[in-house]
Amino acid sequence: MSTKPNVLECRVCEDVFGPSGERVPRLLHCGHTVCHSCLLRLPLQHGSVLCPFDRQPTPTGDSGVWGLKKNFALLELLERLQVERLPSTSTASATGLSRILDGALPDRQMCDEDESHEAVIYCVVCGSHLCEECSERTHATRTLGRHRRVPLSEKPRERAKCDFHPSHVAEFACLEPACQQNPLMCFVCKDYGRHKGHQHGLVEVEAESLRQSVLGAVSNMRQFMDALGESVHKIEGSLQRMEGGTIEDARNRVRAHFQQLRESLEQQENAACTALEAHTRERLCALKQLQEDLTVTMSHVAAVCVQCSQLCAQDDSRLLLAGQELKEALTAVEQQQQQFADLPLEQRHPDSAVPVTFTKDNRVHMGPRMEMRVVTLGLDGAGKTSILFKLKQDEFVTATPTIGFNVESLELRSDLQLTVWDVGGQPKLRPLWKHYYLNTQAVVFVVDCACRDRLPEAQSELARLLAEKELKDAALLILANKQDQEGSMSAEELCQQMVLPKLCCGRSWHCQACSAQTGAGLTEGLEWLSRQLTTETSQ
Amino acid sequence: MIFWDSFVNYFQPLVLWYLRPLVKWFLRKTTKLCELQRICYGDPQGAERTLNVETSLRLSRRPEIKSLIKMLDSVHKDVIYRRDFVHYSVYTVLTLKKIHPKVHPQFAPSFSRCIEQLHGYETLKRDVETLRVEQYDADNPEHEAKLIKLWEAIMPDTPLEARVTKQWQDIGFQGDDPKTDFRGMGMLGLENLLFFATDYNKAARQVLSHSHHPTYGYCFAIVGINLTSMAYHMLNDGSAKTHIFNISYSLPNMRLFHQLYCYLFYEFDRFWMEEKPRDIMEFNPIRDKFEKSIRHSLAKRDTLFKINLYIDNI
Repeated sequence: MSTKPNVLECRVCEDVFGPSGERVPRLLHCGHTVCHSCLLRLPLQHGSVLCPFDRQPTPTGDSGVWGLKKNFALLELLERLQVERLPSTSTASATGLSRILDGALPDRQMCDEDESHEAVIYCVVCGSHLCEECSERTHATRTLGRHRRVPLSEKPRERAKCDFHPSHVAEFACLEPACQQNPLMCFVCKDYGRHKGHQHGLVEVEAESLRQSVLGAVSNMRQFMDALGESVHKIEGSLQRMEGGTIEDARNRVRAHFQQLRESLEQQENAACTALEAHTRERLCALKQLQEDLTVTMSHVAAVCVQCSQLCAQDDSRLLLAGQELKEALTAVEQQQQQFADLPLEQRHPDSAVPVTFTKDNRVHMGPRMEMRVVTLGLDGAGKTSILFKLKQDEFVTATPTIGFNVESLELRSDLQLTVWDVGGQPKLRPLWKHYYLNTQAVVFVVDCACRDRLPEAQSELARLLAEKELKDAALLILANKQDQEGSMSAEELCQQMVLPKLCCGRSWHCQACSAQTGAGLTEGLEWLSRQLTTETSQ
Repeated sequence: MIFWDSFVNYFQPLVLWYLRPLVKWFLRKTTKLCELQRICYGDPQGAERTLNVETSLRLSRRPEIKSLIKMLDSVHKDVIYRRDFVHYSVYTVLTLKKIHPKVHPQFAPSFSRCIEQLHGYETLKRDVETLRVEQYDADNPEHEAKLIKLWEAIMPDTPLEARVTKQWQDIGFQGDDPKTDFRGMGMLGLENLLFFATDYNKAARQVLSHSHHPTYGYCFAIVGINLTSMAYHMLNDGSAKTHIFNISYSLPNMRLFHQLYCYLFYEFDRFWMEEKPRDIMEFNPIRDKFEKSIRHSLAKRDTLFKINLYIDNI
């Protein structure tokens, strides 16, 4: 602020006036203004004080100095200045970090002799800041030349005076929490004054410790700022990258995925339509052929009928003559009737319905029976072949190791036939499993629950299976086999041990406890499978 | 045609029931010999004679003979000693058919030989079943020793690194521990392999080297176990009888079964190599084809399998 604060100073003690208390300005009769505390120190002569400036007496009356008028004009001015100063400090804090930091740096000290020079030397005796040139010039005489002059950086710190005893240096700091507002004190304050009996320390020591802690805080803050700056920078970088491409990439990927879905759906639709067309065309052709045949028969029969009735109307001799011919015609008709009767019922009363069912992978299936391909896989000795034979023949055989594969077809329901491929589980055969994936709607993975040691192996094989592209849409039935044996894991335990929910995420899967020996759980497993294979709408 | 087939099927038992005694009676009267005598004198020794004797006994309606057959069929359950059974049956037949041993001195030895063979076959079935049911037990030192012996016999140049090792896959077991592979056939599978590896060591090693063929390779041990199953079923349904009965030097015993197995293994190896399969996945059809051809030869009464050992060494 350009407003010089010393305008409002008491000219005697050079302290700023305060609105109340010891520094309150009081008006003398001569018109000078002096602070209350200074007035107190003036000697009283015949009940009046003498102005320190022109020695004009001002009577004080009974109440002494307290009876003198306050300088209200000055107080008003003081008040106004304080109001102005408050917003100005708040604006200063808002103008930015850099300015505060600049303020924290030591000001450049100007030469006391010439304002345009920068001071580099301090004269300890004169107490003045000097530049090289002025130092030489002002200390040219012999007496002054002995003055000890030091570089400005080594200038001894100014020691503040005690507020209450201005003649003494405030060399102590009070350590009482109550006095932290103004801890400085001189030895008088310490030993006799307001800090009597208080904890105290040397100003230098206390200041040094405070300085150290502040410096520590400053370095901490610098690190904090560095960290802040760094992360701000990083955030900016990632913002740029996101705006630059990654968002767009993700958007493109989403679009591509749905585009692919649409395309495959379209392909599936086309395939389904073609299949439907072929099927219906075949049926239509057959029906038309049948219709044509029957029409021909009908016209033939009608002709014979007409011929018969005509002949009946003729006279006897002609009828007898035509008898042979008539008999042949009637035999032919009889044959046709027999043929007609031999026609299967559904051909005589064709069903106009076109039964359509859909598999899970959107293939269309016409006709009353649906066929599905299922592959049974698992480690060697898990019980795949035993399960297959149990399902097929309802008898338990302890199989020998399967070399190659077994294939059986199971009629699950009247409208669903499963072709089950049971492929051997020995390690050498596992690379060949993939030949059986093609066009497979479901995989049955058999796990031997009685053999915990081989569980990790089973898990890794299953994980490898699930990574196969051909099996992306296949339903997965996990059979927890050998439940009849003691100490075997339950289906839930198996799920946990093999982390199945995570492994099979995003596909239809089911874990079924079963036993090939007793047959328990096998039908439930297959029923689940059949529900997966046919969509809900077709049932 | 269909009508005729059903007619035959329907009436055949009746014809046999009524006609067979008539024919038998007629022949008995003309030759003065009973049917068993005719068989023992007329048919050549071996499967032909023994099987005909068995058929004749099984068709008999005499309660004594029926109890005899019942006894024979129960051999796999109760231990019936051969000598007891032979004495009993010869005695029964001689008294029943009123055959005087002095008048017909050849009949008794010939007939008892047939009965011995029949009894021996049933005993063999029992022994084989006992072995099959016995599961491989890793805690049984005897079983373990046999397994190690198998390795030493078939891979004499390579020492076994550990009891559970990948090396087992070299001789065609499925995993690192062979014990799981014996599940269906039990100790029978191991005994068979061990016999093949020790008694026909050269042949076994030759077969093993074939099984390592880069394109036509297969798994030696588990194919062996599958063949054990084949031999076991042939023995149980009686089709192996022709071969077993045609071996003249010995009565049916375990060794004969092992030899039959070795023959099957050796022949299967040759059959497999000749078929030139695309990969191991063709095993089942080829095995079925092989079994069919073996069963076809067993259906002939004079079949006797002999291992043709040196065919590959030329």
